[in-house]
Amino acid sequence: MRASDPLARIPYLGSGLGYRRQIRDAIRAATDEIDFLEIVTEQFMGSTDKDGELAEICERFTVIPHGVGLSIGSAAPLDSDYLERVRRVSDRTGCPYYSEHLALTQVPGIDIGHLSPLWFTEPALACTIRNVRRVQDLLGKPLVLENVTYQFDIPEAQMSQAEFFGRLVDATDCGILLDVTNLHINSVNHHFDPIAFLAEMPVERIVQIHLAGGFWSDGILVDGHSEQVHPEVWELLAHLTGLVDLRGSILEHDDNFPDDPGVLFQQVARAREMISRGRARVQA
Amino acid sequence: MTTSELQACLARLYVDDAFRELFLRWPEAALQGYELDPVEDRAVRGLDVAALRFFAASLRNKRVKRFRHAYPALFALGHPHVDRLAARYHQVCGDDGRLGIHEDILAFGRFIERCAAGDDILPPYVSDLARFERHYYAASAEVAPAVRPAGALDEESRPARHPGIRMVTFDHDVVAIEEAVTSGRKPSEEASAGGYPIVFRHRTPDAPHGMVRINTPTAAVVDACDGTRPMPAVVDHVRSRLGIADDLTTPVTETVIRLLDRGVLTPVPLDGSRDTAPAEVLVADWVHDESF
Repeated sequence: MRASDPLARIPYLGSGLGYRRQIRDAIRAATDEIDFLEIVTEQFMGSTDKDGELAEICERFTVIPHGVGLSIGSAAPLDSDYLERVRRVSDRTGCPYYSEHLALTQVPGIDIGHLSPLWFTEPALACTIRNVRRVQDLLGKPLVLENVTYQFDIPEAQMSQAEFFGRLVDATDCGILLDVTNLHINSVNHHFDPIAFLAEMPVERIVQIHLAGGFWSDGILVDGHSEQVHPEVWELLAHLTGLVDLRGSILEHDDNFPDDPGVLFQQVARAREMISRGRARVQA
Repeated sequence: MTTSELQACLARLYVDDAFRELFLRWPEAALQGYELDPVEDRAVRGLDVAALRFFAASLRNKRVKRFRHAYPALFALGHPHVDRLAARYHQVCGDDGRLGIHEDILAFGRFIERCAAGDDILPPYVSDLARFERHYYAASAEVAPAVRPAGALDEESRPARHPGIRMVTFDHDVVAIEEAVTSGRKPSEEASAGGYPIVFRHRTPDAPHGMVRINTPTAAVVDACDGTRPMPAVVDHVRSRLGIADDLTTPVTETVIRLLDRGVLTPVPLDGSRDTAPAEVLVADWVHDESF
């Protein structure tokens, strides 16, 4: 990483949890167990009525906003009103970077309602580079993009996802949020080697990771954010921590909350320990 | 490659069941509406059909799951026509990104209200039940601004609804219906000509949302307090609404004072205290029938 690289200024954040209102009280009481929080940007970008809640979270924790509706791969221009609301949340949290997904969520007239995969082509790459630059210019901080799960490849692609990521980060200096669970799920559903995938990725641009647990449905492994982190995902993380100096880890849990939130905190602690060990090795 | 046309076509395949079925049965007809070059055309035709269906189903289920969360009693009816209408809403009222999740949930409620009111398939109270849950959801999800206390009541006062208060009158006793449905009992289908007025209060920064069931005379008082009428005119309006010739100054004034104490009314209009304002909080500990 170059000294002038905006990612080089991102501090070590530690191991944290996705903020969910269902476990708000447990989170507020767990400042010793949680190093930082990730909020879903859209939950705090409507009216000003969530400002108090956001201020309270930011008083207790370092907060990274994570968006789901940017549609960074859109050929159509990004929504200016939406971007202004993103900037407001980003500014209020004082986050060192802003994270989103490498995905398509909207086209004119249609909100897909979820993350859908990009077609990995030269024109799509050009659109994405244009959009990333616009977001980074507006926010004044790096954008960090996450790999998503996908049910299908779009045929006739001109490059792999790893090459797409590589050329994107080269052109924009943006970072990567590697969702280790998504990588595992995609490798299972699409029958590829996740270690080989990582070998092709610009892993030095990985800033943060996500961990979560999924479930099987109709023969497909689904990124449910509802179970404990799978053993294979921990193994992948162990491999990754030997490759890159990660700045942070977030455990995502959105459903099927355990009666004892300590179950979540134990996974947060495990990630912290693995990342700390990895940092020591990588920095040595 | 145009990219925008391919993305538009893909997005429609994901969310539009009829278009997707047309594409699977007659791709030429479906794709003629899109300017795709040969590579893009091959890309779309080469999609994994089973995976495409799986993804589309996951999008539909995700959206309906939000409706189930916001309208628990409606779905607790277990009536297949409710599921049918939910699927229909997903199809005919596609999300274009302008509504947002909150407004989409409210729009779904309005759709069910209108459909249920006009059919003879669902029990007659279902439209009211959907409307009740819509207002309750709005009360919990929307926040009214905090306002300063506005002084005492006198003859010159022009009482108005507190910002965020919304009064809705139902044909059926929706509170009893909601309780029956969620506890697995059969609700009464009886309607009342006088109606069942309920005051919904949205959250404020300092208080939770809530609702209160009020009686018809109290509803007449709330209705009269629109911020334009001084107290004598409020009394006259209530007398007229209730068709009572007697002097109602004392009971109306007592009711207004009680509603002032409970934050339903303010002595003078405050910013946003008209009907156009967002509703507010409901105070669960005063869910009692009011009367004078």
